[in-house]
Amino acid sequence: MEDRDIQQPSDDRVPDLDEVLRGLALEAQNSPPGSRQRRRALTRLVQLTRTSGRLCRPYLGQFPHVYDEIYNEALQLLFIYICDRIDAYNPQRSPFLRWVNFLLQRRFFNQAIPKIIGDRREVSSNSLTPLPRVQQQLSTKVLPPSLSEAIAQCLREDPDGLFERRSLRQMPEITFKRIAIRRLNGESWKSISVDLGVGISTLSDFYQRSLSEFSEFIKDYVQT
Amino acid sequence: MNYSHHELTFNVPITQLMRSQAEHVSQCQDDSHKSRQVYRNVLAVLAVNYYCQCMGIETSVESSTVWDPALQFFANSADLELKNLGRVECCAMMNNQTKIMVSREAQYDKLGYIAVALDDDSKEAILRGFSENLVEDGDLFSLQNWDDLDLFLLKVEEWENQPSMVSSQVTQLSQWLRGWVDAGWQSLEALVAPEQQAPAWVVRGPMKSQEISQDSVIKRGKLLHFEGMDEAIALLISLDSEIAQEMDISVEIQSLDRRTELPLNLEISILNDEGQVVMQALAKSTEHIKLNFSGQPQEEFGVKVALGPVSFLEHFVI
Repeated sequence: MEDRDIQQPSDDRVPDLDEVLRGLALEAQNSPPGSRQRRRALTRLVQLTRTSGRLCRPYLGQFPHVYDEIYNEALQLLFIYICDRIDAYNPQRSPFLRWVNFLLQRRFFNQAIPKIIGDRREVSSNSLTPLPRVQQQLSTKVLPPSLSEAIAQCLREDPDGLFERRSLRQMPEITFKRIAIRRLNGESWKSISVDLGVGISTLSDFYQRSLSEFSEFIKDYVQT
Repeated sequence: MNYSHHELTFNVPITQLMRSQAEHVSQCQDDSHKSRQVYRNVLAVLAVNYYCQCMGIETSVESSTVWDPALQFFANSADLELKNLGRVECCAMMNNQTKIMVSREAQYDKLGYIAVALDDDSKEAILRGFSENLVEDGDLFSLQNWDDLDLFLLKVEEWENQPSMVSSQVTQLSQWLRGWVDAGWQSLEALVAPEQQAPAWVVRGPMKSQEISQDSVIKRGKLLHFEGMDEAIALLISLDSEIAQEMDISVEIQSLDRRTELPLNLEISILNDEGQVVMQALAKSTEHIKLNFSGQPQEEFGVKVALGPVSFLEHFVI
């Protein structure tokens, strides 16, 4: 980790990676939190760190089969930490990559191990991104043999006549149901548009807008 | 090698947890092509969400359409809500390709589009580009015409700093009952009068005229002008002081003629004295939203009306 690149002649040399990283770290530290400058410096800092080829790989050779999983988990923890706590880095004390590798080796790799090979419940409860609500609801229910078939059936049956009633304001004959069925049959927006004589964006906006309204209804239908 | 002039991109390490979330949702689809599409949509959303977490950009990933099997069944979309700003589309693409597919239905109501390159074994995602608008018509776009993440960060700053139109003064509602109405708040008649299009709605509309004439009920409104919209939105506050210790308050938003739909995703929130949201409603193909609550004298609350990055905030004390 301590190997420095061969120094170039000092006149017109291109700054080496350590200098660039140190400069970016300073730029981030000197810009107000939440500012574009800080975010830009942090993005580049993490990016260069990731692609430098100089990130250490702790315990390489151990954890067969799951090493990459642990490593990726550790990197996620590491990058969040760098962005969040960049002010904790002291450019006078060490090169940026040494600080980062120290954190990866001593802290985040160890933290990542139990997330991958530890207790499964711990995996989901400690995750950065909690399982979204919808998904939890679905996972606690026994799924019908085919969820997507049930959704398609809901459209065809149109139990409350909702999908057939929902139409373009000026053209009551162009209904959500009609468009949806054609889309599900694989027809392109362009072809539907030409056939109905209505612009693509008018159709697709109407479709998307209607969908977000119907999603609760469809979910109820499918889950009962 | 010059490190400073590279395009601004970001590599997101994909974890087992992200893949298992994607796996879980994609299994709801029978069709293997659709299932694969959903899998990649979820990963794209989670990757952008992770980047936003790193950047301190607040999101609500749980509101994405990727978690809803029905929405994914009918549409190919991977949106991520940036809190209080709006939605960005996270466009999954193959790592080795230069074209990005953005379905027509995904092009609706978005702040912008982020290209997310996913490798075959889904171990890493690279956020490769950003486009605020899709200038070409269609659903296939060239990455080379897109900007890098620097523009995204610039835009986020713009969206975040869009002046929220905060009314500096606190409106004293108890004064209204005494007939003292703060400047800027007008009777319904005065609000509508300059608008010639719909002169009769006060009488004819579902808002009964007796409701206005009742002594204990007072209703006053204000017009909110959102940039880029022809028509103003009316914010109406009604007070009912029938019971002395409590005041019943209704807050409504509607178009002036009460027949035009409110802009999609127009959001109205009631805030408590600490600025926390206590009630909220979102316009989905609706002409009118009404929130009712009650409060005691001296209690403070706020009303926020927001459309995308622009918002109006009004403070009240009962």
